[in-house]
Amino acid sequence: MRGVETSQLLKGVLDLAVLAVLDGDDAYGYDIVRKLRESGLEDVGDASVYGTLRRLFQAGCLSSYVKPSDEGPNRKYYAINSTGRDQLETGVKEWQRFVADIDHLLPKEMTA
Amino acid sequence: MTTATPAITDRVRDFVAAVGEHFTDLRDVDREELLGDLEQHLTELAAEAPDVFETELGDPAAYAAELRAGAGLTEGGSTRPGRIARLTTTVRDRVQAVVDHPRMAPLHEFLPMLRPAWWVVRAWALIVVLALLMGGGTQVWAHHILVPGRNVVGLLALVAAVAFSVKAGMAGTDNGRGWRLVNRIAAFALAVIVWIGLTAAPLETVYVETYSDVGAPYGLLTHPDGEGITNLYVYDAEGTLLRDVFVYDGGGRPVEIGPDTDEWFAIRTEPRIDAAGRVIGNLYPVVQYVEDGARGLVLREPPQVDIPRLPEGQQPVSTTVPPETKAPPTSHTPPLIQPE
Repeated sequence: MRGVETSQLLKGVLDLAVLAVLDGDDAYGYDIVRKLRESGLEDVGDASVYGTLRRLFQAGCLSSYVKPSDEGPNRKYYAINSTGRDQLETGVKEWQRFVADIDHLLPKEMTA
Repeated sequence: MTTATPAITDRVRDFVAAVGEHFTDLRDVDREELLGDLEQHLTELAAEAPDVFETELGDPAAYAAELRAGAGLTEGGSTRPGRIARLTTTVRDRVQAVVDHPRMAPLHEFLPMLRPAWWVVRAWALIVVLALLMGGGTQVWAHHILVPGRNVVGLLALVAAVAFSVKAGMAGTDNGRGWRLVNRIAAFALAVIVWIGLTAAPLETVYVETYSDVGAPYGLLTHPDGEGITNLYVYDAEGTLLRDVFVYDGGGRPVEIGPDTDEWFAIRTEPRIDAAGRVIGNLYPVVQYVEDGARGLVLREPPQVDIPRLPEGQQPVSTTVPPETKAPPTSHTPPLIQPE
């Protein structure tokens, strides 16, 4: 069961996570979900990822193309473009600064 | 490549339809954006994990809510701003980024010091614009830009506006919605004023404009009272009209009535040509024709003039030219084709 805290935390960084996955290689919807889960984000939901994909696509961060698949129906692949890469770069910096700030704030004996 | 089985396709279609029912509050474009590719996506999904409807998708309502959140669309409508709003946000972000840049730090300390100046300028700009709106044409605008009103009322309005603006600024009460609007209008007015100031013709042209109705066509000689001189008639002391007289000014420059005729009086001028084929402009009287109703163009007659009588015993000087100054010092008199 997904904890409220985790899902709230995830919401803020799902853009970043999706862009990071696509920065490695083009992928289709469920492929992205699977890769995110394999990376440890087990709680991520298909609808969240799909919604995020559509939003990033609308924002001009992604391009997409349809590719035939051997095992089943055609798949819609998403690819990161230069806008998306810029967004990713900015997001990474923001994330690192955020993590550093929060780390600094948290009690030392608990973070150790 | 294989296609999805009919059973899966139907389930996907049903599920998409069920999800779509939770998006009825969205704009068509947003709903289409969310649902347009969902069938494809879910078909992919179902092909890989046949039990996805039970494990992954579950309740269409929950799925719809999650999808909506992921896409950044909240309950009750679209949170994604329109094209213009997004553009505005982008521009504002860019400007903010410039403003926030560390190199701009000195400005952050300096600009607040200019605040009192802005309190005066915004009052001035608003009064100028008010004066312009009441004053009319752009020629008048140019006057108002430097001194609004140019009259007692304008000056009083300016003083009152400045006092009011500075008072509000010092009291810090100029933060409200209304004042923000005032500041925006003033900033816009200031930009317009600067723009007009940079592009408007110099102030002098304003005065030329006001004299334009006196009646002297451009290029003609004029009397001091502004009336045009259309021809010159030269008489000797006996009152005889001299013909073919070259006229020069004190500097030896030919005196010409102008290149063209006076359209106001419908006068046509016959140009005179020198031996070299050049037009002579200072040979008087100029041969002219005037419109005369049914007769058409007729030769313009010399005016009726009263030649003053010189005192008795005084030698007429018109025919006794001193030997050294037979011709004007610096001017060349063009020889006529047919000398009289």
